[in-house]
Amino acid sequence: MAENLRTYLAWLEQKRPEYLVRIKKPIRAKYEITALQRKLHSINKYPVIMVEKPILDNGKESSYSLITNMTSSRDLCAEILGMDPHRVAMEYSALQAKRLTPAKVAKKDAPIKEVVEKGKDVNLLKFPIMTHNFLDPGPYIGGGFVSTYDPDTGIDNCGLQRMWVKAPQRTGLWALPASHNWANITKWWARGEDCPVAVWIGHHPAGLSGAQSKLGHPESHYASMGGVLGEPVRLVPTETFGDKLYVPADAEIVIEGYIPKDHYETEGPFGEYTGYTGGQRPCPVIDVVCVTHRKDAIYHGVGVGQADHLVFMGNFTMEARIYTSVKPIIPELLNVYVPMSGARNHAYLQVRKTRPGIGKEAIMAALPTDFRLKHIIVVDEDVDLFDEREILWSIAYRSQWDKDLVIVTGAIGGPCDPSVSAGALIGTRGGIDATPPPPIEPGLPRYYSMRNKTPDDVAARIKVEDYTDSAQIQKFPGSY
Amino acid sequence: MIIEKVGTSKDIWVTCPHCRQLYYVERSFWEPTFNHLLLYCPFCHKEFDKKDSPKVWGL
Repeated sequence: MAENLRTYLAWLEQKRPEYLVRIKKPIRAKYEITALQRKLHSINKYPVIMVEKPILDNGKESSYSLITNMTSSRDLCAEILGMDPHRVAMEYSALQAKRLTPAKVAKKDAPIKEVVEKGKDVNLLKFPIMTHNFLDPGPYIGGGFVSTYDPDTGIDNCGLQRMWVKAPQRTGLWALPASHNWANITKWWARGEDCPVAVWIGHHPAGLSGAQSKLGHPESHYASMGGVLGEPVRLVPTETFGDKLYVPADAEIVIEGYIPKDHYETEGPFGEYTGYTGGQRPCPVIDVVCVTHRKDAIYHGVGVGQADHLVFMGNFTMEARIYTSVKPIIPELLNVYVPMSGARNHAYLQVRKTRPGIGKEAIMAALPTDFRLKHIIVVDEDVDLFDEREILWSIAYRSQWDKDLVIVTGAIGGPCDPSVSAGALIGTRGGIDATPPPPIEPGLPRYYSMRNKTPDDVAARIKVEDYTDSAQIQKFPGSY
Repeated sequence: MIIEKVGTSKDIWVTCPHCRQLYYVERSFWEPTFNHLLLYCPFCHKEFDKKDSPKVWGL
């Protein structure tokens, strides 16, 4: 059977049943599911959440279940891809380079065509679409891959872009001006035509991650989606656009429609990946003409701005991209970590400091790989890259800011960053070289203070369990 | 009005004339292309013309 959301759930239940929570009690799609995710985040817990009886905005129980938090655990996401969670940068960069040509299938073989609704029969509000934050004006589709195609070449593109469901057959659409979908939309508009669009929701998380790969334009994401998924993605023609625009045959829900030419409506405010709610803005809309879905469709709601949105659907990709770009320039680069805490603005790079200057060189090489990368911190190989206490310790004792800062003013700033200037979206980006000096000569110790350390033989011999029992260890207080 | 950080000028704070709640919208609503668009209050879910906003900050 082709990989899809159902095969993933079956794998999870068989392999990691303790990572899945099935909620049988009614819970509202408006605010309540997000509140639950935030409570779990506050205690550093990230299970996959399956809501069997989500309550719609009209107070009725939805006929469709909802899955969320699917991509919030770093360990689980790495396991899905068969990777070490501390080696994602290297392993995912290799995986992202793989391409598998999609397989085109007939409609009769596509679960996504089990239900086809057109025209006035379309009602997006029957799905348990989440309202996340107190300023969001209504329910938002956060896990929809918006697919358009270039009118000149016919090559499709897809990207995860937010959609406010404004009415049963109308949504807002925020396609970032730098996005390839925006390039396609404006090409259609320049021809005087509305832009065809199809939005697919729900697939195997490996497929979702592959579809998020950063590619050139025009370049279809379906081959990279297959590369990460490990098999060709099964595609089927849309109802409305036929073989001009394909969608995954094994998705859960597909929304088809048009983005009317030069038409803008008010959109937002919306709580974004930054952790901030962005201001209301003018945006295009989608006039929905058709919805297809599985009979028992599972709505995939991404917890926007939370781990669910950050860890897998962005950070893994960014780590791989930074590693791929910086490694040829700085061979001493050992690893890259884009932490959840920085919400895509931070990256930690680990180098083997064999020669002076490579800390700053690594910063300069990493910055252009993603316009959201704002602060790069470079640390040495003796630091645990995934322990942010050690990153901050490195800054505390291995940097002097008159010498070790890189500051680039007048650079491209993230459009959702409230500290970025209005208009041209210009911001300041840079980094901190928090590495100690290299050895004077290879083989010699560094001309720098030595870290506190228990002698190796003693550290190997002393075990906490030998002095207390494991039940008591669990009850010990933490600190911060 | 003192704007400490340049970026804070990205958003304009408006008051909904219906419910008097405050929220923020992008400066682009004052550009000619989008000047005609009505704003949408996320609190009372009513549309309004920004000219009717009792108080506007940050312009």
